[in-house]
Amino acid sequence: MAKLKTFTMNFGPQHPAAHGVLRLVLELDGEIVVRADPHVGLLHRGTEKLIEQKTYLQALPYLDRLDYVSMMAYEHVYSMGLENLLTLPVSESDKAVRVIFLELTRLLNHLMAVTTHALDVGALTPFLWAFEEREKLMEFYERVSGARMHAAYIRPGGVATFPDIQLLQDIENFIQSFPFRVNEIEEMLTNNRIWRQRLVDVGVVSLSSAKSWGFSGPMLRGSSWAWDLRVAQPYECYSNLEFSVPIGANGDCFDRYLVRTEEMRQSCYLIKQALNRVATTDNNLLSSWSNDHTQMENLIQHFKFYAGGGTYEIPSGHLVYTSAEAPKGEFGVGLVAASGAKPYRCRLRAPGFIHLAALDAMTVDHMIADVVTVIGTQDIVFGEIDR
Amino acid sequence: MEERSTTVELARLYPKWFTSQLVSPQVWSYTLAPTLVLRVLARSLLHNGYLFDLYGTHYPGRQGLSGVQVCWIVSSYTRNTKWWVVSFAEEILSSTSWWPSALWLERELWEMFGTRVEGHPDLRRLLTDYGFVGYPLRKDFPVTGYLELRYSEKNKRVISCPVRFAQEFRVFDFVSPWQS
Repeated sequence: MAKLKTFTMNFGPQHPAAHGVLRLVLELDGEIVVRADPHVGLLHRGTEKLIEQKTYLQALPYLDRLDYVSMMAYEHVYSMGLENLLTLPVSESDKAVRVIFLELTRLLNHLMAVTTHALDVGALTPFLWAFEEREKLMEFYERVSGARMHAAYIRPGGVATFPDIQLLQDIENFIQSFPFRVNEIEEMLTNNRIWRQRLVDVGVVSLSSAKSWGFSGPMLRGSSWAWDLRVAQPYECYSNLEFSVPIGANGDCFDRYLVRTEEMRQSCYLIKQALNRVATTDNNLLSSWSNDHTQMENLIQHFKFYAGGGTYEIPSGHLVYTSAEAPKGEFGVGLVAASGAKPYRCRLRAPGFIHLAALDAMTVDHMIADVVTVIGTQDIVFGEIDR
Repeated sequence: MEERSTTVELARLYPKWFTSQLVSPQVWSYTLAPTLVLRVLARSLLHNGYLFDLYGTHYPGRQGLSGVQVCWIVSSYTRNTKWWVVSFAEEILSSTSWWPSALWLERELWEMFGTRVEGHPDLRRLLTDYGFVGYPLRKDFPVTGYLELRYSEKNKRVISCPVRFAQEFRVFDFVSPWQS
């Protein structure tokens, strides 16, 4: 029999199922994928280079723009990195507020991840429902920071402004009803015949290969390894909060979908606990702010400090690496300090970059339609991959 | 605390491989033999390490010609710890044979800093444009780059030409002239 020739097909970069600007060069044997070669970098903005040109505080908004569906999670890791560099303390109430918004961000991200995945696979309705919820979440962002997406809210040393009581009350109300919205999405998907046919046993990642590919977040937990930095190396006030870490059993796309859905419920649970902590911890942040700005000299001092980018006294050559559990996996920020207010080097370890590197291994010997499923399950966003 | 003790242990176990350590609060272990260290971190059941991150930092004029400091971050899920292995290297040996995650990380390192990676199966540019020249994260590479793209009406396609500025690139230095 004559040897069949494979043919090469171009996928993207302007394909709606490519979740942004992914160009895939697929080598196909009929409908079977022989090799998938992702060409990334179409959104490369050189964020790491740009951060070297900015002061520590000016660099913060760049982090929002990395993963533009889980904004605060990324600026939080950067803020933590700077806090480690300067050994800045964060008050208990600020920690609780951070947890509230980090978990709201996780909802924001997982709603997007699950339902756009469903959209790619052929279910439109959950997407429409989830975007209504995302709208409400972005309103919380807007009310606390003034911006719907790129909030720059979590700052080194705390948060930009303390949320008012009405906002906390509204978040509480939202959290009461949100698990029902998750149920509705699950009713549409979990036992849906088409959804199961497209996801079960597709893109299976064994535990050993998930580890050696450096997976983290739902990608690793889907392969039945209960690894969550919020539990393993707790930061903020996660060690005082109760929640469970869902894991999958088979490491296929369906398990990762289930993990993400359950994580949304756990996030609601976390927000509820964090809200109580805000109420019980005394918050002296607002009073200290108003004291600062009643004196002219204090205002001048404040202005000069900010105009100079913060005259931080950081020992030159100081290295700090910080990572935390972002919705997509472990996000790491490595900072190298130089004398002055600008970082010498800022490394951004994006979980999506690591996951996308394994796309070839995950799609080989799958049908071409499964490529879309695997891209969806990886929950990739090009802002963070290309940086 | 667990993190601190396991990393210090690394230098105690293999004293000849490390030149110095920096605690900040992570323990950065400086070595001249990164491949030996990485291989033992990956293969030894005691460590059970997986590559978490790999990146470079450019220090012009330091440590020979390239001045690129490479940092490997190896994490262990069973021991709940990370190791920071640092080495100045013009050329590194690829660790793709035991960590597939190094495939893209080493490509990025080479692309951004020009560090040669020996034994890498697929060393192509990753994040920069097709046909890009230069190593953008090196300190001698200007932040504005050398080329810019624009649509040429004459050629009816996108062409690249040298960057032109409406005003010169400004670096703001906020240090008060009255301060020393």
